[in-house]
Amino acid sequence: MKNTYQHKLEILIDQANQIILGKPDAIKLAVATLLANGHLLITDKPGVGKTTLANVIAQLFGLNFKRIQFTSDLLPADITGVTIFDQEQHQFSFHQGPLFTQLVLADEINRATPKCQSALLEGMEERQVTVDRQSHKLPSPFFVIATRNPDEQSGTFMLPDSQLDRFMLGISLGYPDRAAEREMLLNPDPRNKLESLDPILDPDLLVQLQGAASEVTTSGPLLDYLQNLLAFSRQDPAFQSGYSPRAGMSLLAVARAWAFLERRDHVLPEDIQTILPYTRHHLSAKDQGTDLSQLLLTHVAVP
Amino acid sequence: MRSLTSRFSWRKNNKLNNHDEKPKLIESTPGGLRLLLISIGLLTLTALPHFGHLRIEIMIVFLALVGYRCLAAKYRNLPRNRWVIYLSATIGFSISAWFYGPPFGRDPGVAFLVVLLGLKSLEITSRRDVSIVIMLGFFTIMTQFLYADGVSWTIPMIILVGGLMWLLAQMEHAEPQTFMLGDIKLVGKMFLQALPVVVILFYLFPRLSGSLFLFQGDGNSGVTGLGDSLKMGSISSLVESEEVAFVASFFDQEPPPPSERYWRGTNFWVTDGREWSRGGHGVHLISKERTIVEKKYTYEIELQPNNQNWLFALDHPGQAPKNAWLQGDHHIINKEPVKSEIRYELDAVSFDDSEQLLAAEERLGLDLGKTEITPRLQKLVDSFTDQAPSSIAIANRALQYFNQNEFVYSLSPPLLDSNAPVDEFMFESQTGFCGHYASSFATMMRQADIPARIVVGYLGGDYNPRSNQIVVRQSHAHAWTEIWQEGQGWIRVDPTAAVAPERIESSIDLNGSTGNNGQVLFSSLNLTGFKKFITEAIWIKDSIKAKWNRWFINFDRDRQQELLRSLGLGNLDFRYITIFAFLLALTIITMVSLLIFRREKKPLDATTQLSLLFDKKMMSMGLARGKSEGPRDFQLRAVKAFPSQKSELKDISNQLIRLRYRMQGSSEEVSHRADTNQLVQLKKAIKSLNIKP
Repeated sequence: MKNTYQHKLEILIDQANQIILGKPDAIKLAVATLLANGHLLITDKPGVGKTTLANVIAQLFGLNFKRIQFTSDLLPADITGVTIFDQEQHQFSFHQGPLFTQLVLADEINRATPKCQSALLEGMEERQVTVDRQSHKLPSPFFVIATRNPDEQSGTFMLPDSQLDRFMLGISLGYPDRAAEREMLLNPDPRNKLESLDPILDPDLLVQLQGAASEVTTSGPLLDYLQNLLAFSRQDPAFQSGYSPRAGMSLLAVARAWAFLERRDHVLPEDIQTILPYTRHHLSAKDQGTDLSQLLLTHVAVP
Repeated sequence: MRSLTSRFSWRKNNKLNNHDEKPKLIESTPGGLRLLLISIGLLTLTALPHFGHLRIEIMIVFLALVGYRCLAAKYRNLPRNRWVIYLSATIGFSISAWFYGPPFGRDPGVAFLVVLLGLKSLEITSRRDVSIVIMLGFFTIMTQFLYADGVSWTIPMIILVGGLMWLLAQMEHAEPQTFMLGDIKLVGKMFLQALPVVVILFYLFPRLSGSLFLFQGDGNSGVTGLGDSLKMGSISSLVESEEVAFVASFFDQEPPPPSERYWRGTNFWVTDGREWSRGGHGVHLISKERTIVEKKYTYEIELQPNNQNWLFALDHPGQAPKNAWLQGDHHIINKEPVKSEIRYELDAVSFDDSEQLLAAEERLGLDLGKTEITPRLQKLVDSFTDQAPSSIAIANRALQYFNQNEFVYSLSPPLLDSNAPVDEFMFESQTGFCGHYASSFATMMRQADIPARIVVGYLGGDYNPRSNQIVVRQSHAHAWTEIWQEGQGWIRVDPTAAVAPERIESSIDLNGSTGNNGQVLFSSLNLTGFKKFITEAIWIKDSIKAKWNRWFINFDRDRQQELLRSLGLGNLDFRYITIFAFLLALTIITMVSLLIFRREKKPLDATTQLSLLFDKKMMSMGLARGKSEGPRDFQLRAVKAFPSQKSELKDISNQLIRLRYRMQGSSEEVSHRADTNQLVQLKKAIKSLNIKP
């Protein structure tokens, strides 16, 4: 049974790789994040395929998908929706904003004002939005894939640490390699392929997969190792702030999903080590140049 | 995006994992250059004080080697291979051997060590080398104490120790440049933590008498003191030396007035007309039975090594200290020559007048040996004895003669080279110092049939009211005489005083200030301004030094007994102290290690043990698991390293992974649940792994 799940996931990843060229790691990490029921942050320069990645994922998982382009004049209501007075019915009714979808691509999230960012982030954490003192449940499953430009680019608002912490993994795509780029130059528009893409999963199946992934064994020694990592990040003076308890939980959840993708029924320290470099947004260093995940990888002993 | 394989890049920095690759040069690692330069700087600081006692050539070799290492850190293409090291070692050791010979004894050993330090700095390539250099630094600091042990030396050395510890702490950081202050705090904390242990061990650990650091052949160097004999001129060199001969502490009593500060060393009985001496192995006169009238002072002397076997005492010592004998002529003979600093306590007493002249004293005290008495000297002596009622009267006439004629006190008198130096001094040069006056006076007294002897020792001393001590320096060396007066015994006559009373006075007080009637002022109250400040400063310095000596440098077995007595442990036997100290040390060590290892002491469960066993086994085969290397990565590496044992290795590590990562629950629980037989089999399998790398 599990094997068919994993087989499906492998087909999914394979398909995605045919559209997004030369980025197998990023795709696998994105799939793992979804399996772990987390949100993904993609930080990179414009034009490297962030949006395409989100598109492909949505398509293949069979999720309905909306894209919100964040700009500096975006208002919270533009995301969550508004309550309007209905003349015919003589009552107020809520008009859902673009957040009410299974997969949201929040594009260039750091171009929006902090108020807008927090409207999105409430949805991410609570999986509901509150408009005019009325709470509205978001659909399930609900994912956010946010992209952001590097902070040093002009026209950006820094994301506060507390909001960054809600993203399970943070990846960056980078430039394609030479062969992949040649392929792209020959087939400039991936959207043609996108449209012909059939979904591999559906939302119900995804929920089952998430359940299966969460059953992957995490043994005592493994938890020891994870806790050593967390403790080190909180104690070592190179860290301005270490992993939050939430970050620790999401680290374990992604490690489980990763092991699941690797067709294993147990998490190994290597899984955590693989994930670790993509959790840097949970940490901040005293000294800007310090590679904190490197520090963790070299200094924390595997028991 | 970062490739997934990039997570393996950290292995490159992980030394344990990295057998094939050459370790990176320390100056190429982050923060390494700084570590290197600081360690070399501290090393140079530890060696620098040896500038004072080693030949300059050795220090040049050291600085050249260290300098070359620093240059090599900047100009990476400077050669630093083993040929460079061989060459510089040959040159360095040749220079050390040329000036000092083989490295035995203090100076040659230290010279050798300093050259070694320089060479070691050339060899620094990794962080581990830096820690070795730090350990060498500690050792070098210790060697400084072979030369000096004063407070002023100890404080900079402690600071240097702190510096080295700080560097050790710095090395523990992955990013050493960031946390300077925290480490200073850490070092301070460690010092404070160590302090009680140091105090307990220093003061309570049983002490053996004697100096541990007395190097053969070097023990006498720098030893100065009064000589065995008195030739005209022999004391003059001492008079110019400000070196401390001894320090007398009077505890809470008044010190003796200046007129009583005659510190007797020994007595010279024998003369040949030119030289006065103790005669052969010294004159040993039996102690006389005398009645003590008054106990005047109790004091303690800290005597610097002088390689003589007499001890100094105020007149008259009541009884000899331990391991020494009191002689009939009041001088004290120690069991052996004083080669390291010793302390002794004495009483100064006065006796009644019933002293008897021993036959030996009479014989020796009148013997002029081959002294040539010229007619004019005989005439002079006759003028003293003419109708004199007593020995004292004769002596007074002689003193008057010195006083009324043109006698000059001088530390650089003309050479007396005739066959009758006394005659030449009395009638021609008339210039000299205490030795000349004492020997001429004693000669004349003996010629006048009065038993006489010369006493050598020290006169005066610098009084420090802060510590209530008198510091006696070599410049206070003095010679005076004693003559026999029937009915009064041996009485002191100091002919130098008749010529140069200021010689007696000048050595009395630090500031040399005298009151109206030659009365010496002891308090600083009459001093004003800067002079007072200076005097106070000197007193404070001396009293710190006295405390330092008392509580650190000279804290020997006697002092320890004293301390224990004051703590109410006085009647403890040495053996009990040893046992007590041993038990105390054992208790402390046990408690400390219990505290430290409390968590680790928990017995390890079976699966953890097996995994450690596997790591150990692999290490013994030359493949160490990296500190943060996961089990599967290690398995892959092991299989690659030992392809011949592929299946066994895979089997063992898969079983270990299963036990440690596939079972829910802590490793203790898993160990409980696991099939014991299987664990035993696995253990056997690990133990039977045997692969030649």
